[in-house]
Amino acid sequence: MATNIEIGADVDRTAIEQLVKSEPDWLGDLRRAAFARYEQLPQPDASTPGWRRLSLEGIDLRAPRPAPTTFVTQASAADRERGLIVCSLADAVGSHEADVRRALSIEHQGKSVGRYAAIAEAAWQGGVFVYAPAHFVAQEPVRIELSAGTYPRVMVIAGERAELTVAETHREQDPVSAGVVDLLCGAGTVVRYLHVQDCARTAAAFSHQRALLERDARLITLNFGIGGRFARTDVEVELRGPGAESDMLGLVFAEDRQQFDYRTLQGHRSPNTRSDLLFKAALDDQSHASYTGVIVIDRGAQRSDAYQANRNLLLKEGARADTEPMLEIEADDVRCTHGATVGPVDEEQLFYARSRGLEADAAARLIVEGFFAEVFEKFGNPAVTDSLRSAVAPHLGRVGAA
Amino acid sequence: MPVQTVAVARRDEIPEGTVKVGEVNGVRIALCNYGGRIYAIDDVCTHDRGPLGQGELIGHEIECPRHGARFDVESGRATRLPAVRPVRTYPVHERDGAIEVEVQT
Amino acid sequence: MATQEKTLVDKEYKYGFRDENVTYTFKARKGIDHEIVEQISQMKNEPQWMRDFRHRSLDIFFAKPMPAWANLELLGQIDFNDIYYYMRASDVVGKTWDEVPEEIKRTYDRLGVPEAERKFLGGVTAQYDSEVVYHSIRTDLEAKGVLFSDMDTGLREHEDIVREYFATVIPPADNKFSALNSAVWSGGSFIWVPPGVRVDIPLQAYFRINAESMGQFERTLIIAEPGSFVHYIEGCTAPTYSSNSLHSAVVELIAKEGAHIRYTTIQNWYKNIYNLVTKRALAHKNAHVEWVDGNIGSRLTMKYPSVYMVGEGARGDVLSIAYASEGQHQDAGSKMVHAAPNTTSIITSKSVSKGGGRTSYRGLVKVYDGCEGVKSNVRCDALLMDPESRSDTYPTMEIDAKDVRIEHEATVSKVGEEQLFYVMSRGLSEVEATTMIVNGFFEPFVKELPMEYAVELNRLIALEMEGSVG
Repeated sequence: MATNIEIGADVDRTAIEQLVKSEPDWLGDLRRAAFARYEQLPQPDASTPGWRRLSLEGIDLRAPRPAPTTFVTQASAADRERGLIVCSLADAVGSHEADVRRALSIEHQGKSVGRYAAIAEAAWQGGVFVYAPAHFVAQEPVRIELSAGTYPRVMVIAGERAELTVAETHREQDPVSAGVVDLLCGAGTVVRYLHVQDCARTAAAFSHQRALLERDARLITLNFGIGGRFARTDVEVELRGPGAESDMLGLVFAEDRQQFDYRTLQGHRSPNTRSDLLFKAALDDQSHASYTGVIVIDRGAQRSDAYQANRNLLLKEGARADTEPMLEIEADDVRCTHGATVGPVDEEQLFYARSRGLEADAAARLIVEGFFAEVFEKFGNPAVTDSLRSAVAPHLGRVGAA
Repeated sequence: MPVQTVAVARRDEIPEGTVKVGEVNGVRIALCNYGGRIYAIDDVCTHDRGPLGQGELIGHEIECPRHGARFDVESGRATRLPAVRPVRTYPVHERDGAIEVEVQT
Repeated sequence: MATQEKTLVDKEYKYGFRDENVTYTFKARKGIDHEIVEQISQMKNEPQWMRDFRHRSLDIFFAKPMPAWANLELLGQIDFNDIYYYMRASDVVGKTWDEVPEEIKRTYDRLGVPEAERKFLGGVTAQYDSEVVYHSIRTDLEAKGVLFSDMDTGLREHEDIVREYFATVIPPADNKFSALNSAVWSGGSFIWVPPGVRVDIPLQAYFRINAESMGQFERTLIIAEPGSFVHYIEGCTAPTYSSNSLHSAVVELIAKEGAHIRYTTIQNWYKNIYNLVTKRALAHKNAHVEWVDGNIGSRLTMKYPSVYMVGEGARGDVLSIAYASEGQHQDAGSKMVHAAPNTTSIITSKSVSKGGGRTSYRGLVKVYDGCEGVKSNVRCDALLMDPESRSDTYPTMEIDAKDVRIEHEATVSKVGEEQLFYVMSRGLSEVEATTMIVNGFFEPFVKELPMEYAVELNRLIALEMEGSVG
């Protein structure tokens, strides 16, 4: 039977007011507005649309009191000298007020500006701010590691034509955490963003990631899910400027009774934009992955191309996958395709591997490795993804042939 | 499989042809009185996983109010679409006017 | 039954059977309530269980909300109080040919629809006089033991069969509109095919329709006993006019072991009509159900033909096309529920939107646990003819079994410029070229239709393309 996750008292208005005390008025107003939004949105349960298929017994979804987040950041000294800023978001409120204020004030029109995003916007503390000035090309990835805290907030601003990679890893032990990530990609930028969810197996983790791409910006994101007991991740990319391109990658390796719920949005708001989404999940034991993704192409977004693929590999009887790829197309001069598959390890592939002398288990592992390889490759930065391969290894070791 | 018999309601709380929902060890159970006998089933419709207890008892079948699925209260079998899977049933004992349901611990 | 005795039961009912000398006076009026439902049932001289069923269904209709996920902008325009829910044939006749919209008359001309048919489709005459054709088919069916009649007759003459299956596939509580249909249904077809019998000629509703059951709240029930086969066709490609703007049909199919049912629909309702249909099939072991569904007309059509596969080896197919032009929304799709192992489903959906029309595909593929060996393939293609049009796709897959193969693919695009150029360079005008391309797009569907339908559909598409380019 599921163990109950106990948490502390709920977050409330006084907790927010505490945070606001030492901050500029504009920030206090934003927090209060976010808290008001949070209060209006009901706590989800099995009867909430889109939550019916999740097993929520023993999972307490109340938003906890704010607890400070513990971030460890790593950026090359050389990059910092040339102008890269990596500091706490709280500090950036003072040092980069104009940029931070503009970024925090953006009203997101995403499909699911949910309850957990709202409370994270109201109750974040500390946070991380990454700023790459115009024309800055980073030599090393920026790494952010979170080990504790309830409301992590990360903001990445890439100035015109800047290029950088940010890798954010979550290892919180807190029973419930809700984070928000903002990726503001200026014109002509190339940004890679990796989000690893490796929280404690008793944790419920929420992550709301939104990206705004200006003209000719290119964003490649990879969401890697391996931890937590229940993880709900929303990834919304708005292709605001013409020529913008978004590659959204997702990789889940689930076991035991883990549940992963991903919701994505590919929003084409301008002409000549391109998006390509590939989300893959390998599900072992009695785990469950749910994918819901929308491609929206606005009336004026002519000559846009959008692709979306969700592939689910079921490794054991009892594993479950739900997939709901959606299209809302209002421009006609577009090319738009989506596809989804669910199935076990392909028999032919298995046979082929075994005919090469591999044991059944080893053959299955090899196939699952290959299943992941495509996604790692598409991210285009081995320095960052190689560590993921080792993270997956112990889990792969448990994969059996049937 | 260790079982436990738990008192859930009193017979006089469940008139013939009605349904009463009780809880045993955190599990919601619908008690149905058909023809004077009490039957116990999971209070979950296997079609949409919502509660069954608000449904009407039509003869020996309980009808889920949301989409009209039906289940036989004795065998648990799904007797009408959109339900296709049976609902779990529990043995019922009656002692001194108390209705007791046998559940796994 | 746990339901209460209805207080409106007319004391004349105790005679039970229709008394030829007594004509029940039915007052046609707008709006829906228990009195109207009582009158409908009295008019038809129905058994008590059907009367109770209607009343109970009406209560369910009142209690149920509109579906939150639907096009509420259009649905919200239905004024339930401003509709006639039942009219006898004699109430309908009296409309003149002059009242039929001009564009419909023009289409009849262009399509070459025969005179008698035009009057019938235009809602001017009450009955389509094709008794001769119908009669010869009847004799053949009788010899085989096949029952084929309208639903009212089926209830009257084969009450035991009807009672066993009626509303077991689609209960009134399934959705708001199945509840409405359950309360006021009239007309529709009843078919029962004995074990092992193959009905080679497609059965068509066309021949027996009369204005009373002019598709408004039709109720169809088809039962195919083990090893049997039947193909049923409803609707037609010529535009059909009805002054009743709300149509809500319910179709229930039961395919027993090894049986095969093919159900073909072509719907071309005039643009004033809301066409909200619930169609579902129950497929037992090794049974095969095919829905061939063409949606061309109406202002808003909501229709998701479904197959519940509850026996091993069952198979469900949906082949559907949708065409939406200005002011139209074709909201179609399918639901495939795999509740047994080694079952297969194939869904092919093709839609075309032009002039601001909107097509949507909504689908569900659900595989219950323990159902190994399931294969499901869904393919949705949408063609947008111009920048004003819109296409949405909302498929859902819920997969709880491991050894299955589930695939879904959808594309949205416009008529390719290269493709158009190529065809036109063969000497065709833009209209002809566009027509050819759209016909080619719909080809997998058209080739499954009986020839006269296929021919008419191609002609209709040509007309539509003319309108779009000219």
